[in-house]
Amino acid sequence: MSGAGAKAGDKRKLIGSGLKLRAKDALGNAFLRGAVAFTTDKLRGGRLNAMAEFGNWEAWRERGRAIREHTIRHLDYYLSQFAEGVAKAGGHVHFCASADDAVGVFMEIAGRHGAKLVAKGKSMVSEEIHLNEHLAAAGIKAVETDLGEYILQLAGETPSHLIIPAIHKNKAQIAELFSKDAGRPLPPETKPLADYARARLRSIFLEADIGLTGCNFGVAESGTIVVVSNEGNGRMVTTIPKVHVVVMGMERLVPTFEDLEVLLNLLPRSATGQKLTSYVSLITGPRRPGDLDGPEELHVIVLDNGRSEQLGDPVFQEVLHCIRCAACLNVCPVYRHVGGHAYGGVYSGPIGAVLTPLLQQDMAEAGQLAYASSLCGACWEACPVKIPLHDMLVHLRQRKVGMKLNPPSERAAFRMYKKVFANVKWFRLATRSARLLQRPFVREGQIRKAPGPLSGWTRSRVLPALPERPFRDRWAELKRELYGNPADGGKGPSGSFDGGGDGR
Amino acid sequence: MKVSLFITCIADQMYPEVGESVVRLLHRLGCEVEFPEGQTCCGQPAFNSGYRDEAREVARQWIRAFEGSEYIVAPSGSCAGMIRHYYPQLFEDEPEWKEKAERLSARTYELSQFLVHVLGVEATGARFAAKATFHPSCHAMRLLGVRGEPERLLAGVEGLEMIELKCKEDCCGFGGTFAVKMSEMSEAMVSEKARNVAETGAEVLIGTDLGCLMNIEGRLKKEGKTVRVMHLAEVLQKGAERR
Amino acid sequence: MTGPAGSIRGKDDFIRRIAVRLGRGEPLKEAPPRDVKGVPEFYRAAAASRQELIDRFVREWTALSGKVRLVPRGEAAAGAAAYLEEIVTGEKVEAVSLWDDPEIAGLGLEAALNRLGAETVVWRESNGGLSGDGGDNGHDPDDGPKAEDGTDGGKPSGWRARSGLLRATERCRLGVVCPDYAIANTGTLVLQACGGRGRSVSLLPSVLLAVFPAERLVMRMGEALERLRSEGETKGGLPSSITLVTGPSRSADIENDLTIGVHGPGKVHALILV
Repeated sequence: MSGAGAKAGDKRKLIGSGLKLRAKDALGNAFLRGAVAFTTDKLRGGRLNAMAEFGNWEAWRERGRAIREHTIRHLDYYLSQFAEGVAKAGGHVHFCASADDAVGVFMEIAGRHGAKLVAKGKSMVSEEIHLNEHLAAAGIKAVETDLGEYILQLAGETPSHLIIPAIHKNKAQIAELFSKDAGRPLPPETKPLADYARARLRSIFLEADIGLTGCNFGVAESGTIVVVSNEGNGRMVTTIPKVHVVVMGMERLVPTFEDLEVLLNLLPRSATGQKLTSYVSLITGPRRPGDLDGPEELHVIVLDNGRSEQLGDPVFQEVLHCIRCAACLNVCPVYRHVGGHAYGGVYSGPIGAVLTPLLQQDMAEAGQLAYASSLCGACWEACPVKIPLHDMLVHLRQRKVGMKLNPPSERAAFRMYKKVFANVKWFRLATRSARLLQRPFVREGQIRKAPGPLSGWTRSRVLPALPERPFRDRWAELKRELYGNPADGGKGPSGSFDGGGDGR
Repeated sequence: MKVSLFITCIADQMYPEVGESVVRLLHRLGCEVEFPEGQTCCGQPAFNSGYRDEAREVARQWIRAFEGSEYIVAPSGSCAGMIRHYYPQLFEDEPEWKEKAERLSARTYELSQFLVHVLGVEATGARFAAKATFHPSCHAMRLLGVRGEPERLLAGVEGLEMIELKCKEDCCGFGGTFAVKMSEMSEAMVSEKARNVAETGAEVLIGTDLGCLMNIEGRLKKEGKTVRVMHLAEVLQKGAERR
Repeated sequence: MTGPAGSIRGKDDFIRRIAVRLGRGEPLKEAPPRDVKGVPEFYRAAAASRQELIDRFVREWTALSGKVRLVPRGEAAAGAAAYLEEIVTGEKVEAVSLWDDPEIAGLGLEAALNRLGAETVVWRESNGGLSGDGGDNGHDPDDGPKAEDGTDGGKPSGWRARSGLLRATERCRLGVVCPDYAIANTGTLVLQACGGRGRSVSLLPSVLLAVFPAERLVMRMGEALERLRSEGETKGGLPSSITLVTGPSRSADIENDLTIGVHGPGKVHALILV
């Protein structure tokens, strides 16, 4: 959607069409690149150490994969069981097909309680449904209590990483944000900034009408919500406010506590290298009679929003196995250089590039994210549940081609490729022509400025010129040299190649 | 032992001397090398860009070319990986061709894999005095499970001092059409790779895949760096001179 | 252990759509068979002695900056009192929150703390507050902005509505709990919440002390979860909250600098009766 009137600013907001612009912005931001590289290096190292220390990592990955596969394959059963469990424990389950449904449910709960303040734990799904915007429109204040998300909320920005959302902000910037928030100057040092956040957010926890969290895993057998946290904000928002609302993707289940142990062994190690997060909250229903803290009301919003569309798809059903650990982000060489904002949406990195077009069911725009990858496969290798993200990216490209969404010039180019490369005679003809066509661009065996699409290469690299004789034209001589000519009794002419033979 | 050389389009057209090194090396190690003339390309450029039908037709040509081969060896983890990992599924709906694809893919090897696991060779009698560093190919590692074979072969080269490359398993940014289509991202990746190479102080950069090597060398040259870039086969064939 | 009934809305269409997408005419009602479940055998199998469990817990706990004291069972009360004295003095503790629990009572911790001059807030309803209602110390909006509802520097209205007990607990600097289980291979406390065992006790104060006999140690999380589930079955359900605590609260969100003690206790102590 780029027309004559589209401004660069508007274009940036388009997930696909704005990808290169956003990437360029990121590539020009030295601090961001340094911060992303530093953070991902740290997390990668953490993960590798944790894997080595734990041992048998491949066996664990296979377990994780098998459990998630079984769960998704029987999601109708487990989701039903899960809901029964939540209800039996006194919680209220709301199945919501769309983002709007989910927002509607939340607003209804908020309205019923006259809620003015919502304390939010980290929840990607709540961002997926744009909950904060709706709350703001209704005059309800929502405060992000995850420290990184709080920083971003003050800055009016979106996360650049799944687990450590504000890595693109330095202490000076954070101090500026916090000073403004506090109404007094705060130094750009970690301790005073953290102390401020602690006190400030504590007052939020204590005053909030509703606590909102996501759900890392739902345990189907008991209707238990599992929330992991290092800071403790996940505990705060599920202990103090009167109402706790969980917003969860429908795929975030494990069948039993036995299975939970496997996933809790995989998740923290893959995410940060920790054996376990500081806190794991296992929540089964609201407070019971006799409990003196904990929410009086528990609501669980189970969201579809494009997920069920992936069920039954032999390629993409597996994307629902994801446990949102961000290991793929940390190893992705593209993410390393452009950070999360370049992906233009809630989910970034390799998982984001696959999930966004699928959930949004948009190949034309979001589908372009599938090209933000060199298909190196590092994501697949790092994924604790073995999702073949690298293959899914190719499948997305195939889907786009199948829907004829690619430029006609590209389609023509690959038709030509097929014609030339599926036939040796055409191949020889084409490669001979290429040698003629390259001549104007060759200087001293190199091409420093190539035309057309190849200019993308020569802007940053030198391109070698095609040598006069390809290998296949030299084969006959080489063969004679090594194996002789049967006609002359095995003795062939000596080689006449550049470099060759022994004894150098 | 008869070995069919799967030259790969990039070696055939752009680095014929690497092809020659491969042939001489295999010959020296006792193989009878043949070159099926019908080969052109494995089809990966089309496949990776989502043009599955086009890729399939090119793959069909490859299968025709290598139909009778016992061992198929390529100086490329990426191309060998394409055959082994993707050819059978490319012909999912054509049982006859799927069978051919499965049969041939089981016989296809990347060079270092072939030397170490089929020929059982690690010391190739090579002599090459230099300080060098090694960049592993993403596809060799992740599609073929090649991890350590090239290094072991290089350890068997007399006089060669290997220095570990920082973040070696990070992609160099080639990715075929990615390098041209997403050129800015690719540039960022290759420039970090080039920087890491330069930081090792090595005189030579060695790799198993010519896409990677062309990419990194292209960047090094643009930056005016004088690191020599060589394919594993060239080093093992006693450091054949490149132009 | 039943409270008000829960509810489910919108299930039928939602589940049916899933079933249809998965190729089923009707949603699956029977538990599907499984060949792979839970942790791999090699992980499940390893048995450990009591001493190994203690050593492992201590190693993991201290690696996360946790402090630990081992006290022979015979000297439990005295040992606990001594450790408490160190903590109270070292952390300048004035008020302590404790679980209302026979174990804690049995160790005489409340009395020991009072002897040290610390005020104690046991987690029970009748404990409405320390120094009057809507008090002055504890949650001090000094570092925060104006109150949410526009009142001046005093307590905002949301907070006013909280129980006195919660407010009193919030003012405590130390929280004392006795976990049902402790997990050795990760250095984790297992805290069930119900009745006198409030979640806030291990959450609001900035220092935590967990007291437990070594018998409560298991090697891995799965063992603790299994037992909790069985207990739940006999009690008619799991408690509304089970918290696994592994070390202090932490964050690296400010330029990757590690901050210890954000919203939960930053100093954690374990006293193990051996």
